[in-house]
Amino acid sequence: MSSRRWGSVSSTLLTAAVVLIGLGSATPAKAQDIASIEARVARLQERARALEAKADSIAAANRRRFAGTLDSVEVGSFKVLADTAMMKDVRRAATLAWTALTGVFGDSASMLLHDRTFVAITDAIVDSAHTDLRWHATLGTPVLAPREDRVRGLAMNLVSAAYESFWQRLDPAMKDWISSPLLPTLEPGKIPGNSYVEVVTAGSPIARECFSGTLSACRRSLGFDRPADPAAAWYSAAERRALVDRLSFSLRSGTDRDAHARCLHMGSDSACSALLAANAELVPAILSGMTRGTFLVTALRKGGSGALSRLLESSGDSVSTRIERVAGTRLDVVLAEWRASIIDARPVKTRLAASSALTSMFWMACLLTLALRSSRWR
Amino acid sequence: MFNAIFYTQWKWSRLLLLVATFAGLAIPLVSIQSINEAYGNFEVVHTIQGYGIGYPLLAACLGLLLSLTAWGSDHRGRHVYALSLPIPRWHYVMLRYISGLLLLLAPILAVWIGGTLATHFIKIPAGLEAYSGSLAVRFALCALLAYTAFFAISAGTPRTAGIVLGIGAGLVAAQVLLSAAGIEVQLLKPIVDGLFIWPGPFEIFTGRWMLLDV
Repeated sequence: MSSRRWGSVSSTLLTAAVVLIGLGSATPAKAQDIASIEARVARLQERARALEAKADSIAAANRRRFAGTLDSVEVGSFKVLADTAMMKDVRRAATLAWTALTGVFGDSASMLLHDRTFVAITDAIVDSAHTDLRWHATLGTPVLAPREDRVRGLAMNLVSAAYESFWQRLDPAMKDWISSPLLPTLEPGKIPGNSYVEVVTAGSPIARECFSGTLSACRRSLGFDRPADPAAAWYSAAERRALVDRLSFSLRSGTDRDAHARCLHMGSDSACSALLAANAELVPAILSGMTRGTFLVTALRKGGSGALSRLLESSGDSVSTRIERVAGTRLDVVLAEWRASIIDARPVKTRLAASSALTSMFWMACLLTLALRSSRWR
Repeated sequence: MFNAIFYTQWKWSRLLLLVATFAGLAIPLVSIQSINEAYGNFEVVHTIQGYGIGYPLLAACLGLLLSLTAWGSDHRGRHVYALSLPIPRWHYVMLRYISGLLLLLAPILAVWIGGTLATHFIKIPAGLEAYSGSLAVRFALCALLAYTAFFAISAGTPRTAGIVLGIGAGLVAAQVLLSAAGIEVQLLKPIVDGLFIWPGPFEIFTGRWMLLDV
């Protein structure tokens, strides 16, 4: 009975809904009024202008506040503007950066700064929606003073700015030899562990000879005096095949496809050699630009005061001759020093240190004692 | 009594141990799969280094889960079983701890066997050395340390565990709030440094975990 009554109620509702929808669709839609749209656009534009004006006034207030709290620090040739609240950190960062820079370039490091003024800005300034960094740039070169590890972070950014300037001032021949910008570092006397790994594990046996102490091999590994056919001079048959495999994409387009197939599928060394000889410019140097950069840093450090000027002023001669001039000594002396630094850069060994093992056992004993002293009552 | 405790712990944790043993065997074997495709040994070292994170993660997870399974039944039974035994508390804790240590042997051996097999069946590139033994010893120490740390927390009352976890979570939350408010105070860094830099307890977890290295 009730279900029948519910059925009749629902069918009435359904009928009413259909009638309403029908009436609604039969009524003509109200046409869009151009005048009202234009008025609405004008209102929106006015609102946008008001918001822009508000944003400008906030930015101006921020700038006034920032400018009002600015102070400057001068360490060596670094001049850094920063908020007075972080002057202590900025001074420490600038000192660290200047020490690192003079460790490589000596007193000539000031040449890289061109009397530039840096403006230390915090993450909060960078993240703010109202910040216009173009305004900060009118005060000097903005450098980030990160929230985390501020002193080292800011020091690294200052050093990076100087290294960028160094890279821009290098001549094309020297840039071509190094092939990638020098890695900025806060520890100029220390070569990164990656360079050690690279020398020890390089594809060519020449790098391993260098590691064993043959300085002529170091010279070849660093890419001085690049031969006409570097693949034949630097790599073994297996390495040439691996190189063809590696360079497949570049070699396949435009060279002998048959030679490519014979090299990779039939293991023909003559085919591999011919392919690589025909594309000698694609054959990579034994050691990367990062590691060649460490050699240049060694030469600059060896050359001491004036080394940077000698580097920037020299041109025309071969890279090796120029590096001798920069270091103020024979290339072999620099090579020997660089090799010694590479060996010192050996990364922490994978083998477990006794101190680590003993420390972990000590902590295990402490934790177990705590567990043994736990109460049986809950 | 030890046999009974060891057997029950084995029953509770055998699935976990199976998975961990399989993972311990697999990580070294998988890590060397792509070295034939590597251009040079430098790339080999980097690939192996990428897989290195798997060992400390496995050790930490294994230690945590094994300690939880060791004490889970006691917590559920409100420690009545332990109270009913005619042995002092420290003796009971020691039995549970040693049972867990013995159970850890399977995944540790798996890491060693996996590393040895992985380095046995490939031609190790010139200039590189295999470190399967030292890797397994380090994994063993990490797993034991993680197990002991979580075992000590679980052995306490739920209140103690709550306090330890609450302090940790509170510090993280406070750091997030401070950073969001633009207040530059480092709460976590000194604590993390103290835990993970020598002579901190978890220093052994850090560093390079390499099956093949220079």
